[in-house]
Amino acid sequence: MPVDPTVNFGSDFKNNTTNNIYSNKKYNKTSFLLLSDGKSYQAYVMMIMADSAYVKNDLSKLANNTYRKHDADFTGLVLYFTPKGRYIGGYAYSNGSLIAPSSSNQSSAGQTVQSVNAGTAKLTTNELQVCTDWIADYYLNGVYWFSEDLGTTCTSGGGGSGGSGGSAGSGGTPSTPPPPTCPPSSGGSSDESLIVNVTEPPPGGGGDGGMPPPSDPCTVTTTGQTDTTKNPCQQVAQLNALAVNDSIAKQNKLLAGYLATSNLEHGFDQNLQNWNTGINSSYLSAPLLIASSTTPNQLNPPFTWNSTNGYTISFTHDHPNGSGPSPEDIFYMLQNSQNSALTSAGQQAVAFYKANSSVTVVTSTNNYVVTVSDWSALQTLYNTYLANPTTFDNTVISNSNASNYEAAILTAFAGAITLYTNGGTANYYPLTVTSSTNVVSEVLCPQN
Amino acid sequence: MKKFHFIIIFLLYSLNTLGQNGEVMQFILPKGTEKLNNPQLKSLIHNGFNEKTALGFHDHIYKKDGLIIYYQNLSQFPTHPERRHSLESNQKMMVALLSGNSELKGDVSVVDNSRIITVNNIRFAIIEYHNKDDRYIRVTSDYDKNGGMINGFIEYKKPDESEARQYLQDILQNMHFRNN
Repeated sequence: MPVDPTVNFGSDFKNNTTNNIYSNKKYNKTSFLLLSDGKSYQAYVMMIMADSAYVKNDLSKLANNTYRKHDADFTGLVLYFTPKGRYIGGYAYSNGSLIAPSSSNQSSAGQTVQSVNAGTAKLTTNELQVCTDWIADYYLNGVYWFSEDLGTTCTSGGGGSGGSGGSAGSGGTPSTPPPPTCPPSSGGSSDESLIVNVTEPPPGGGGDGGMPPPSDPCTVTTTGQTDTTKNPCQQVAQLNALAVNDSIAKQNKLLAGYLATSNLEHGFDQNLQNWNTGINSSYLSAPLLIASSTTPNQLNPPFTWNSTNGYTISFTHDHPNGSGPSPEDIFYMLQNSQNSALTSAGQQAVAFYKANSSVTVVTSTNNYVVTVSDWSALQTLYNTYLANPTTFDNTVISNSNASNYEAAILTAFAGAITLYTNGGTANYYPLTVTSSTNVVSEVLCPQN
Repeated sequence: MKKFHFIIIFLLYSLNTLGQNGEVMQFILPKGTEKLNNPQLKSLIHNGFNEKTALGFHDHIYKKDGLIIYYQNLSQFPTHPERRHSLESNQKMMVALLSGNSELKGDVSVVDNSRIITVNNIRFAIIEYHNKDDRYIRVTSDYDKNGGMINGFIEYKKPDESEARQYLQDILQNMHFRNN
């Protein structure tokens, strides 16, 4: 999807020594990418910087180059950034073909570190190294903001990216941008943070094959920490199945009806008959909860974890004012996870609760479901909340006032929850927010 | 050694004619309106304006006499237009949140009035409220055809109330969606 239109994003590409402009800010295009590997989501900003020799004053050619495809004669650069602006890496294309990456002065531990002397050509073992410093200059409102040193690349013999025109020069052959400089890992030496960018081959090669994916060498994936039950897109199927469960559907339908006739909150516990037979099994009938007229927005749902009253896995209620889940709704799940009735049932019961609990909010336009994706992160937020609930909630209200409620909740609970909505339809989908712009958008899940 | 600089420019708005380059609305701010930079904004905050609200709009902040004007462009659910919240539901929710009629335990403002008006065939939700001596007019537009909307504030003190309301009228009269 294109980057938020509220901010126009342009770039020039300049040889700082000769002041030659190699690309025009009109010749670039920035897009927001949300990529899923089936287990998690990563957001990136992709900037395509086309070479003027490729554009040939035909700006419509820019539209031919996206993450999924590029022109057969595309020449230019593809740069990836995190949504917060950290440079991740880039690729260079010449005539539709990916240029092999030049060497970097950066090296992983144990590998040779090449010249780090900026501004000089250096001889190493009978080979002339021509090195290029890559620097991003950021401007805000046309005023210089700051520069970021992206690193140095070197090529041998003065060919390739060297040459008379300079790399990425108009009509020249671009050279591959360097890998990012990774921040030192905690507890590691500075050498261990130096990593060689390992570029992945482009899909298909040549034109129309799409761009190589972003690969953040600074991100280390650890195994054993991903709770696959909390993959948002995998949970969509479960949420959709629950939405048509007879008991759940009946409760939510009743709540939608109360919205039309009452300003008091109404709700139901969702109590499984047996917790070890799965989330989509039989639910016990639960009494209707109604807020009092003196506190019309407060329900205090009971929590039970026994065979007589059932196993409270979820809670559904309406919000007559139309807002999504409140911080208090979200913390309700954390409180329940520490309820003695649950904890005394053993670790398996707690694990089941944590993997399957949710809170549903029914409004006149759509339903929301919130689940916890990181219980430790939620605990940290809860501690902050307990220190000063008014301050915590004021932040949500202020952000909601400035933008919208979904953005405010997603921002306040970033990394701790997943927020879904059904938009008044039969299907739920996860929501995400771009923090810099407060734009809320739907996470596109693969079709089942 | 060759040095290459990527010059990355965030183009914003230095002209009084707004609504260019991807903005949702096109409109002209009344004469005498000046754009604020961060030091100027901080100076105003030290003089009693509400920091937490104004700083959320730092890309579009203006001043005229005793008024601070700020806004931002928003979009919601761009892939599913049918799932957008109506202006009425947005208005109802925001009035509830501001006035403490929700589950949240934040500070309670006093909502003086709220209404939906139509100007130049564009519907706007207007909420006037105050918190202690900070007064606000909140303006939220309906969606344009692409799901974009504008959400802005005029912040003022009680003696400037008439000027704030006139300023609102002046802006709304010349607001036009760029994409419709």
